[in-house]
Amino acid sequence: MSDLRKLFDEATAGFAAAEDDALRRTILRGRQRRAVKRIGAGVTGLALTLVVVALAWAALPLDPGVRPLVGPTATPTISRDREVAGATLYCWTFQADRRCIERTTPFVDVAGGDAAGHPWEMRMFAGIFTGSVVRAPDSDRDPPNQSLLVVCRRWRPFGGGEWQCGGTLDDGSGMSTGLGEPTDGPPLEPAPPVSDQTRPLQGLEDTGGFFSGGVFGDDVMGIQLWTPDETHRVDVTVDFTEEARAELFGPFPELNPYLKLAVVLVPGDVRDVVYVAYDDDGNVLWREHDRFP
Amino acid sequence: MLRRMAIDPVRTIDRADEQAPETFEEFFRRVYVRLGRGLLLLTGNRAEAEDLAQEALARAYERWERVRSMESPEGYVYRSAMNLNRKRLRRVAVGRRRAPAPDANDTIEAAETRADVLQLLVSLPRGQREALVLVEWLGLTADEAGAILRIDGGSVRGRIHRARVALRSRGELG
Repeated sequence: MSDLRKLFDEATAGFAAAEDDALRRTILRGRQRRAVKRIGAGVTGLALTLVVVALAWAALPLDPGVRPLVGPTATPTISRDREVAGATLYCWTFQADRRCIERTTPFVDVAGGDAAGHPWEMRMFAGIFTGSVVRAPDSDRDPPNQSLLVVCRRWRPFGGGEWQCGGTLDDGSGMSTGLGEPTDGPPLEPAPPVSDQTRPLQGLEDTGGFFSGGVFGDDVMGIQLWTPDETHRVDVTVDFTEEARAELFGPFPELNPYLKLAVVLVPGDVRDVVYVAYDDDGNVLWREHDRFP
Repeated sequence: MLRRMAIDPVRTIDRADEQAPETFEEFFRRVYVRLGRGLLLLTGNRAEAEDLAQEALARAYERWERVRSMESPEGYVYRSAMNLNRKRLRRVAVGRRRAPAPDANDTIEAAETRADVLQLLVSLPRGQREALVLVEWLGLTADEAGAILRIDGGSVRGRIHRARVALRSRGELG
Protein backbone atom coordinates (compact mmCIF):
# COMPACT_ATOMS: atom_id res chain seq x y z
CA MET A 1 0.00 0.00 0.00
CA SER A 2 1.43 3.34 -0.98
CA ASP A 3 2.14 5.95 1.62
CA LEU A 4 -0.71 8.10 0.39
CA ARG A 5 -3.19 5.27 0.20
CA LYS A 6 -2.31 4.24 3.71
CA LEU A 7 -2.82 7.80 4.85
CA PHE A 8 -6.17 7.98 3.10
CA ASP A 9 -7.19 4.64 4.50
CA GLU A 10 -6.57 5.83 8.03
CA ALA A 11 -8.20 9.18 7.44
CA THR A 12 -11.45 7.70 6.15
CA ALA A 13 -11.69 4.65 8.36
CA GLY A 14 -14.64 6.18 10.14
CA PHE A 15 -16.81 6.42 7.05
CA ALA A 16 -20.23 5.00 7.63
CA ALA A 17 -20.51 1.31 7.01
CA ALA A 18 -24.30 1.32 7.25
CA GLU A 19 -24.62 0.13 3.72
CA ASP A 20 -28.14 -1.18 3.93
CA ASP A 21 -29.55 2.16 4.97
CA ALA A 22 -27.50 3.90 2.36
CA LEU A 23 -28.69 1.49 -0.30
CA ARG A 24 -32.32 2.06 0.61
CA ARG A 25 -31.88 5.81 0.55
CA THR A 26 -30.06 5.66 -2.77
CA ILE A 27 -32.71 3.55 -4.45
CA LEU A 28 -35.41 5.83 -3.11
CA ARG A 29 -33.59 8.80 -4.58
CA GLY A 30 -33.19 7.03 -7.88
CA ARG A 31 -36.88 6.22 -8.05
CA GLN A 32 -37.77 9.80 -7.26
CA ARG A 33 -35.48 10.98 -10.01
CA ARG A 34 -37.10 8.56 -12.44
CA ALA A 35 -40.54 9.81 -11.51
CA VAL A 36 -39.52 13.42 -11.97
CA LYS A 37 -37.96 12.57 -15.28
CA ARG A 38 -41.12 10.90 -16.49
CA ILE A 39 -43.08 14.01 -15.71
CA GLY A 40 -40.50 16.12 -17.49
CA ALA A 41 -40.54 13.79 -20.47
CA GLY A 42 -44.28 14.11 -20.65
CA VAL A 43 -44.03 17.88 -20.76
CA THR A 44 -41.26 17.68 -23.33
CA GLY A 45 -43.25 15.23 -25.39
CA LEU A 46 -46.22 17.55 -25.40
CA ALA A 47 -44.03 20.43 -26.49
CA LEU A 48 -42.47 18.32 -29.22
CA THR A 49 -45.86 17.25 -30.43
CA LEU A 50 -46.92 20.86 -30.71
CA VAL A 51 -43.77 21.68 -32.65
CA VAL A 52 -44.30 18.76 -34.99
CA VAL A 53 -47.87 19.76 -35.59
CA ALA A 54 -46.77 23.31 -36.28
CA LEU A 55 -44.13 22.09 -38.69
CA ALA A 56 -46.51 19.89 -40.57
CA TRP A 57 -49.09 22.63 -40.69
CA ALA A 58 -46.56 25.04 -42.12
CA ALA A 59 -45.59 22.56 -44.78
CA LEU A 60 -49.03 21.57 -45.96
CA PRO A 61 -48.69 23.16 -49.39
CA LEU A 62 -46.05 20.63 -50.24
CA ASP A 63 -47.18 17.68 -52.24
CA PRO A 64 -44.56 15.04 -52.01
CA GLY A 65 -46.09 12.66 -54.43
CA VAL A 66 -44.88 9.13 -54.68
CA ARG A 67 -41.52 8.26 -56.04
CA PRO A 68 -39.33 5.22 -55.65
CA LEU A 69 -36.18 5.88 -53.76
CA VAL A 70 -33.92 2.96 -53.30
CA GLY A 71 -33.60 -0.56 -54.43
CA PRO A 72 -35.34 -2.68 -56.98
CA THR A 73 -37.24 -5.05 -54.72
CA ALA A 74 -38.23 -3.38 -51.51
CA THR A 75 -38.55 0.08 -52.84
CA PRO A 76 -39.61 2.56 -50.24
CA THR A 77 -42.11 5.05 -51.40
CA ILE A 78 -43.39 8.09 -49.69
CA SER A 79 -46.85 9.45 -49.91
CA ARG A 80 -49.06 11.83 -48.09
CA ASP A 81 -51.21 9.49 -46.22
CA ARG A 82 -53.65 11.13 -43.93
CA GLU A 83 -54.14 14.03 -41.67
CA VAL A 84 -54.37 13.86 -37.94
CA ALA A 85 -55.16 16.83 -35.79
CA GLY A 86 -54.18 19.20 -38.51
CA ALA A 87 -50.87 17.48 -39.15
CA THR A 88 -50.22 15.66 -42.34
CA LEU A 89 -48.74 12.25 -41.87
CA TYR A 90 -46.50 11.01 -44.59
CA CYS A 91 -46.24 7.32 -45.04
CA TRP A 92 -42.89 5.82 -45.79
CA THR A 93 -43.78 2.46 -47.23
CA PHE A 94 -41.70 -0.48 -48.20
CA GLN A 95 -43.15 -2.55 -50.95
CA ALA A 96 -42.03 -5.77 -49.34
CA ASP A 97 -44.69 -5.73 -46.70
CA ARG A 98 -46.57 -2.51 -47.31
CA ARG A 99 -46.10 -1.43 -43.77
CA CYS A 100 -45.83 2.20 -43.19
CA ILE A 101 -43.58 4.40 -41.13
CA GLU A 102 -45.42 7.57 -40.54
CA ARG A 103 -43.72 10.90 -40.40
CA THR A 104 -45.41 14.14 -39.66
CA THR A 105 -43.04 16.19 -41.72
CA PRO A 106 -42.83 16.70 -45.44
CA PHE A 107 -39.86 16.17 -47.61
CA VAL A 108 -38.16 17.86 -50.46
CA ASP A 109 -36.39 16.42 -53.45
CA VAL A 110 -32.95 17.45 -54.31
CA ALA A 111 -31.20 16.37 -57.44
CA GLY A 112 -27.68 16.96 -58.52
CA GLY A 113 -24.64 15.45 -59.99
CA ASP A 114 -21.04 15.16 -59.08
CA ALA A 115 -18.24 16.65 -61.05
CA ALA A 116 -17.95 13.53 -63.17
CA GLY A 117 -21.55 13.77 -64.16
CA HIS A 118 -22.93 11.07 -61.94
CA PRO A 119 -26.46 11.94 -61.04
CA TRP A 120 -27.60 11.92 -57.48
CA GLU A 121 -31.00 12.22 -56.06
CA MET A 122 -32.00 13.05 -52.57
CA ARG A 123 -35.15 13.19 -50.68
CA MET A 124 -34.95 15.22 -47.53
CA PHE A 125 -37.37 15.36 -44.75
CA ALA A 126 -37.57 18.75 -43.17
CA GLY A 127 -38.33 18.68 -39.54
CA ILE A 128 -37.66 16.88 -36.39
CA PHE A 129 -35.78 13.66 -36.44
CA THR A 130 -36.74 12.56 -39.83
CA GLY A 131 -34.28 10.81 -41.94
CA SER A 132 -33.51 10.87 -45.55
CA VAL A 133 -32.63 8.38 -48.16
CA VAL A 134 -30.03 9.37 -50.63
CA ARG A 135 -28.81 7.34 -53.47
CA ALA A 136 -27.56 7.65 -56.95
CA PRO A 137 -30.34 6.43 -59.22
CA ASP A 138 -27.94 4.51 -61.38
CA SER A 139 -25.76 2.36 -59.19
CA ASP A 140 -23.66 1.22 -62.12
CA ARG A 141 -22.35 4.69 -62.41
CA ASP A 142 -21.50 5.14 -58.79
CA PRO A 143 -17.98 6.23 -58.34
CA PRO A 144 -16.34 3.20 -56.77
CA ASN A 145 -14.79 3.38 -53.35
CA GLN A 146 -15.85 6.89 -52.80
CA SER A 147 -18.24 8.39 -50.41
CA LEU A 148 -20.41 11.33 -51.10
CA LEU A 149 -20.94 13.75 -48.34
CA VAL A 150 -24.07 15.74 -48.74
CA VAL A 151 -24.96 18.56 -46.49
CA CYS A 152 -28.24 20.36 -46.46
CA ARG A 153 -29.30 23.46 -44.76
CA ARG A 154 -32.61 24.99 -44.08
CA TRP A 155 -33.00 28.50 -45.29
CA ARG A 156 -35.64 29.63 -42.90
CA PRO A 157 -36.37 28.00 -39.59
CA PHE A 158 -39.58 26.10 -39.87
CA GLY A 159 -40.21 27.72 -43.21
CA GLY A 160 -41.25 24.47 -44.71
CA GLY A 161 -39.32 22.62 -47.31
CA GLU A 162 -36.67 25.08 -48.14
CA TRP A 163 -33.45 23.23 -48.20
CA GLN A 164 -30.28 23.53 -50.05
CA CYS A 165 -27.93 20.63 -50.36
CA GLY A 166 -24.54 20.01 -51.72
CA GLY A 167 -21.62 17.76 -51.18
CA THR A 168 -18.26 16.51 -52.15
CA LEU A 169 -16.69 13.21 -52.95
CA ASP A 170 -13.65 11.89 -51.20
CA ASP A 171 -11.42 13.25 -53.90
CA GLY A 172 -12.77 16.71 -53.28
CA SER A 173 -14.81 16.99 -56.43
CA GLY A 174 -18.00 18.86 -55.89
CA MET A 175 -21.60 18.09 -56.39
CA SER A 176 -24.13 20.52 -57.66
CA THR A 177 -26.76 21.86 -55.38
CA GLY A 178 -30.44 21.63 -55.49
CA LEU A 179 -33.17 23.48 -53.74
CA GLY A 180 -36.10 22.10 -51.95
CA GLU A 181 -39.50 23.11 -53.03
CA PRO A 182 -40.18 26.62 -51.85
CA THR A 183 -43.47 27.33 -50.29
CA ASP A 184 -44.64 30.73 -49.26
CA GLY A 185 -42.58 33.58 -47.96
CA PRO A 186 -39.93 35.68 -49.57
CA PRO A 187 -37.88 34.34 -52.44
CA LEU A 188 -35.00 32.13 -51.53
CA GLU A 189 -31.69 33.70 -51.11
CA PRO A 190 -29.63 32.74 -54.13
CA ALA A 191 -27.04 30.21 -53.17
CA PRO A 192 -23.55 30.25 -54.55
CA PRO A 193 -22.38 26.96 -56.03
CA VAL A 194 -21.39 24.48 -53.40
CA SER A 195 -18.10 23.90 -55.14
CA ASP A 196 -17.20 27.45 -54.25
CA GLN A 197 -18.19 27.01 -50.67
CA THR A 198 -16.92 23.65 -49.73
CA ARG A 199 -13.56 22.94 -48.35
CA PRO A 200 -11.79 19.70 -47.58
CA LEU A 201 -13.89 17.76 -45.18
CA GLN A 202 -12.56 16.29 -42.02
CA GLY A 203 -15.53 14.04 -41.66
CA LEU A 204 -18.86 14.69 -40.11
CA GLU A 205 -17.23 16.49 -37.26
CA ASP A 206 -16.58 19.24 -39.70
CA THR A 207 -20.12 19.72 -40.86
CA GLY A 208 -20.42 22.95 -38.96
CA GLY A 209 -17.88 24.49 -41.26
CA PHE A 210 -18.99 22.92 -44.45
CA PHE A 211 -20.63 25.97 -45.83
CA SER A 212 -18.85 29.23 -45.64
CA GLY A 213 -20.43 31.33 -43.01
CA GLY A 214 -21.13 28.42 -40.71
CA VAL A 215 -24.83 28.42 -41.17
CA PHE A 216 -25.38 25.22 -39.27
CA GLY A 217 -24.83 26.30 -35.75
CA ASP A 218 -25.04 23.60 -33.17
CA ASP A 219 -28.16 21.80 -34.24
CA VAL A 220 -27.06 19.36 -36.85
CA MET A 221 -27.73 15.73 -37.39
CA GLY A 222 -25.66 13.41 -39.46
CA ILE A 223 -26.92 10.40 -41.30
CA GLN A 224 -24.61 7.92 -42.85
CA LEU A 225 -25.76 5.54 -45.52
CA TRP A 226 -23.56 2.62 -46.36
CA THR A 227 -23.70 -0.05 -48.95
CA PRO A 228 -23.15 -3.53 -47.52
CA ASP A 229 -19.57 -3.66 -48.69
CA GLU A 230 -19.03 -0.25 -47.17
CA THR A 231 -17.43 1.05 -50.28
CA HIS A 232 -20.13 3.63 -50.74
CA ARG A 233 -21.54 5.84 -48.12
CA VAL A 234 -23.62 8.95 -48.17
CA ASP A 235 -23.58 11.31 -45.25
CA VAL A 236 -26.34 13.77 -44.81
CA THR A 237 -26.54 16.44 -42.23
CA VAL A 238 -29.79 18.08 -41.38
CA ASP A 239 -30.83 20.67 -38.92
CA PHE A 240 -31.97 19.23 -35.72
CA THR A 241 -33.90 21.02 -33.06
CA GLU A 242 -32.49 21.16 -29.60
CA GLU A 243 -35.64 19.73 -28.12
CA ALA A 244 -35.57 16.69 -30.31
CA ARG A 245 -31.91 16.15 -29.72
CA ALA A 246 -32.36 16.35 -25.99
CA GLU A 247 -35.17 13.86 -26.24
CA LEU A 248 -33.06 11.44 -28.18
CA PHE A 249 -30.01 11.92 -26.12
CA GLY A 250 -31.65 11.96 -22.75
CA PRO A 251 -29.19 9.74 -20.97
CA PHE A 252 -26.35 12.18 -21.46
CA PRO A 253 -27.89 15.63 -21.80
CA GLU A 254 -24.96 17.25 -20.07
CA LEU A 255 -22.62 16.17 -22.82
CA ASN A 256 -24.50 18.15 -25.42
CA PRO A 257 -23.45 15.94 -28.26
CA TYR A 258 -24.24 15.98 -31.86
CA LEU A 259 -26.30 13.07 -32.95
CA LYS A 260 -25.14 10.98 -35.81
CA LEU A 261 -27.48 8.57 -37.47
CA ALA A 262 -26.03 5.77 -39.42
CA VAL A 263 -28.35 4.06 -41.87
CA VAL A 264 -27.15 0.84 -43.33
CA LEU A 265 -28.14 0.40 -46.92
CA VAL A 266 -28.79 -3.05 -48.15
CA PRO A 267 -29.46 -3.23 -51.89
CA GLY A 268 -33.14 -3.23 -52.36
CA ASP A 269 -33.79 -3.34 -48.67
CA VAL A 270 -33.22 -0.18 -46.71
CA ARG A 271 -34.12 -1.31 -43.30
CA ASP A 272 -31.31 -1.36 -40.83
CA VAL A 273 -30.63 1.80 -38.97
CA VAL A 274 -27.94 2.34 -36.43
CA TYR A 275 -28.20 5.46 -34.38
CA VAL A 276 -24.86 6.61 -33.13
CA ALA A 277 -24.43 9.58 -30.90
CA TYR A 278 -21.09 11.11 -30.36
CA ASP A 279 -19.69 14.03 -28.49
CA ASP A 280 -17.80 16.99 -29.82
CA ASP A 281 -14.61 14.98 -29.89
CA GLY A 282 -16.15 12.27 -31.99
CA ASN A 283 -16.30 9.73 -29.19
CA VAL A 284 -19.13 7.28 -29.54
CA LEU A 285 -21.33 7.62 -26.51
CA TRP A 286 -24.43 5.74 -27.40
CA ARG A 287 -25.43 3.31 -30.07
CA GLU A 288 -28.73 1.78 -30.84
CA HIS A 289 -29.82 -0.48 -33.61
CA ASP A 290 -33.22 -0.41 -35.16
CA ARG A 291 -34.83 -2.19 -38.03
CA PHE A 292 -37.56 -0.86 -40.14
CA PRO A 293 -40.53 -3.09 -40.58
CA MET B 1 -14.82 8.38 -39.87
CA LEU B 2 -15.42 8.41 -36.17
CA ARG B 3 -12.52 9.19 -33.97
CA ARG B 4 -12.63 7.19 -30.83
CA MET B 5 -10.86 8.01 -27.65
CA ALA B 6 -8.70 5.22 -26.38
CA ILE B 7 -9.89 5.36 -22.80
CA ASP B 8 -13.15 6.72 -21.67
CA PRO B 9 -14.74 5.02 -18.70
CA VAL B 10 -18.09 6.55 -19.51
CA ARG B 11 -18.18 5.42 -23.10
CA THR B 12 -20.95 3.03 -23.93
CA ILE B 13 -19.93 0.09 -26.00
CA ASP B 14 -21.54 -2.99 -27.31
CA ARG B 15 -20.57 -5.48 -24.70
CA ALA B 16 -19.53 -8.95 -25.60
CA ASP B 17 -19.63 -9.77 -21.97
CA GLU B 18 -21.29 -13.06 -21.27
CA GLN B 19 -21.22 -12.72 -17.49
CA ALA B 20 -24.48 -12.43 -15.66
CA PRO B 21 -25.42 -8.77 -15.51
CA GLU B 22 -24.59 -7.18 -12.21
CA THR B 23 -27.53 -5.97 -10.23
CA PHE B 24 -27.58 -2.45 -8.95
CA GLU B 25 -27.46 -3.75 -5.40
CA GLU B 26 -24.32 -5.71 -6.12
CA PHE B 27 -22.79 -2.74 -7.82
CA PHE B 28 -23.71 -0.50 -4.91
CA ARG B 29 -22.12 -2.80 -2.36
CA ARG B 30 -19.00 -2.99 -4.46
CA VAL B 31 -18.63 0.74 -4.98
CA TYR B 32 -20.35 2.68 -2.23
CA VAL B 33 -17.92 2.59 0.65
CA ARG B 34 -14.88 3.10 -1.52
CA LEU B 35 -16.53 5.99 -3.32
CA GLY B 36 -17.81 7.47 -0.09
CA ARG B 37 -14.41 7.38 1.49
CA GLY B 38 -12.96 9.02 -1.60
CA LEU B 39 -15.55 11.76 -1.36
CA LEU B 40 -14.75 12.16 2.31
CA LEU B 41 -11.22 12.89 1.23
CA LEU B 42 -12.52 15.41 -1.26
CA THR B 43 -14.96 17.18 0.99
CA GLY B 44 -13.56 16.64 4.45
CA ASN B 45 -17.10 16.17 5.64
CA ARG B 46 -18.62 12.80 6.26
CA ALA B 47 -22.23 13.80 5.84
CA GLU B 48 -21.52 15.54 2.57
CA ALA B 49 -19.51 12.58 1.38
CA GLU B 50 -22.39 10.22 2.11
CA ASP B 51 -24.82 12.55 0.40
CA LEU B 52 -22.69 12.90 -2.71
CA ALA B 53 -22.01 9.18 -2.96
CA GLN B 54 -25.69 8.35 -2.66
CA GLU B 55 -26.68 11.00 -5.17
CA ALA B 56 -24.13 9.78 -7.70
CA LEU B 57 -25.28 6.22 -7.23
CA ALA B 58 -28.92 7.25 -7.40
CA ARG B 59 -28.24 8.69 -10.83
CA ALA B 60 -26.72 5.40 -11.85
CA TYR B 61 -29.77 3.59 -10.48
CA GLU B 62 -32.04 5.89 -12.45
CA ARG B 63 -30.57 4.61 -15.71
CA TRP B 64 -29.07 1.37 -14.52
CA GLU B 65 -29.83 -0.68 -17.60
CA ARG B 66 -27.75 1.67 -19.65
CA VAL B 67 -25.06 2.31 -17.06
CA ARG B 68 -24.32 -1.32 -16.43
CA SER B 69 -23.67 -1.92 -20.10
CA MET B 70 -20.96 0.69 -20.07
CA GLU B 71 -17.35 -0.26 -20.26
CA SER B 72 -16.90 1.08 -16.75
CA PRO B 73 -19.99 1.79 -14.68
CA GLU B 74 -17.67 2.90 -11.91
CA GLY B 75 -16.24 5.52 -14.24
CA TYR B 76 -19.73 6.86 -14.84
CA VAL B 77 -20.38 7.09 -11.11
CA TYR B 78 -17.01 8.62 -10.39
CA ARG B 79 -17.59 11.27 -13.00
CA SER B 80 -21.04 11.98 -11.62
CA ALA B 81 -19.58 12.28 -8.14
CA MET B 82 -16.88 14.66 -9.29
CA ASN B 83 -19.41 16.81 -11.10
CA LEU B 84 -21.74 16.82 -8.13
CA ASN B 85 -18.93 17.87 -5.84
CA ARG B 86 -18.03 20.72 -8.17
CA LYS B 87 -21.63 21.86 -8.20
CA ARG B 88 -21.65 21.69 -4.44
CA LEU B 89 -18.57 23.84 -4.26
CA ARG B 90 -20.13 26.39 -6.56
CA ARG B 91 -23.16 26.57 -4.33
CA VAL B 92 -21.48 27.12 -1.05
CA ALA B 93 -19.81 30.31 -0.09
CA VAL B 94 -16.13 30.53 -0.69
CA GLY B 95 -15.52 31.05 2.96
CA ARG B 96 -17.42 27.92 3.84
CA ARG B 97 -16.15 25.55 1.27
CA ARG B 98 -12.68 25.23 2.58
CA ALA B 99 -11.72 24.14 5.99
CA PRO B 100 -9.13 26.40 7.52
CA ALA B 101 -5.71 25.68 6.15
CA PRO B 102 -3.47 23.90 8.59
CA ASP B 103 -0.72 25.68 10.27
CA ALA B 104 2.33 25.89 8.08
CA ASN B 105 4.32 24.18 10.76
CA ASP B 106 1.93 21.31 10.98
CA THR B 107 3.17 17.93 9.85
CA ILE B 108 1.55 14.62 9.05
CA GLU B 109 3.22 13.11 12.03
CA ALA B 110 1.77 15.82 14.20
CA ALA B 111 -1.67 15.31 12.73
CA GLU B 112 -2.72 12.65 15.12
CA THR B 113 -6.38 12.71 14.39
CA ARG B 114 -8.24 11.89 11.21
CA ALA B 115 -9.71 15.34 11.18
CA ASP B 116 -6.27 16.80 10.96
CA VAL B 117 -5.41 14.66 7.98
CA LEU B 118 -8.64 15.49 6.23
CA GLN B 119 -8.12 19.14 6.96
CA LEU B 120 -4.72 18.92 5.43
CA LEU B 121 -6.12 17.29 2.31
CA VAL B 122 -8.98 19.71 2.00
CA SER B 123 -6.48 22.53 2.01
CA LEU B 124 -5.16 21.33 -1.34
CA PRO B 125 -6.58 22.81 -4.54
CA ARG B 126 -9.64 20.95 -5.73
CA GLY B 127 -8.00 19.69 -8.88
CA GLN B 128 -5.17 18.13 -6.94
CA ARG B 129 -7.54 16.50 -4.52
CA GLU B 130 -9.60 15.06 -7.34
CA ALA B 131 -6.52 13.62 -8.99
CA LEU B 132 -5.28 12.19 -5.73
CA VAL B 133 -8.58 10.57 -4.88
CA LEU B 134 -9.14 9.08 -8.32
CA VAL B 135 -5.66 7.70 -8.72
CA GLU B 136 -4.32 7.09 -5.25
CA TRP B 137 -7.54 6.08 -3.56
CA LEU B 138 -9.86 4.74 -6.24
CA GLY B 139 -7.02 3.14 -8.13
CA LEU B 140 -7.58 4.55 -11.60
CA THR B 141 -4.74 5.14 -13.97
CA ALA B 142 -3.81 8.71 -14.74
CA ASP B 143 -5.37 8.37 -18.17
CA GLU B 144 -8.59 7.00 -16.76
CA ALA B 145 -8.72 9.78 -14.20
CA GLY B 146 -8.01 12.25 -16.96
CA ALA B 147 -10.97 10.96 -18.94
CA ILE B 148 -13.21 11.59 -15.96
CA LEU B 149 -11.77 15.02 -15.22
CA ARG B 150 -11.61 15.86 -18.93
CA ILE B 151 -7.94 16.59 -18.83
CA ASP B 152 -5.09 14.54 -20.20
CA GLY B 153 -3.23 11.96 -18.20
CA GLY B 154 -0.11 14.07 -18.06
CA SER B 155 -2.01 16.82 -16.32
CA VAL B 156 -3.29 14.31 -13.81
CA ARG B 157 0.21 13.14 -13.08
CA GLY B 158 1.28 16.77 -12.72
CA ARG B 159 -1.47 17.46 -10.22
CA ILE B 160 -0.57 14.43 -8.19
CA HIS B 161 3.05 15.43 -8.18
CA ARG B 162 2.20 18.91 -6.97
CA ALA B 163 -0.11 17.50 -4.33
CA ARG B 164 2.59 15.20 -3.10
CA VAL B 165 5.05 18.06 -2.95
CA ALA B 166 2.55 20.10 -0.99
CA LEU B 167 1.78 17.27 1.41
CA ARG B 168 5.43 16.51 1.80
CA SER B 169 6.23 20.10 2.59
CA ARG B 170 3.54 20.13 5.23
CA GLY B 171 3.76 16.68 6.54
CA GLU B 172 6.95 15.05 5.51
CA LEU B 173 5.08 12.60 3.40
CA GLY B 174 7.35 9.85 2.24
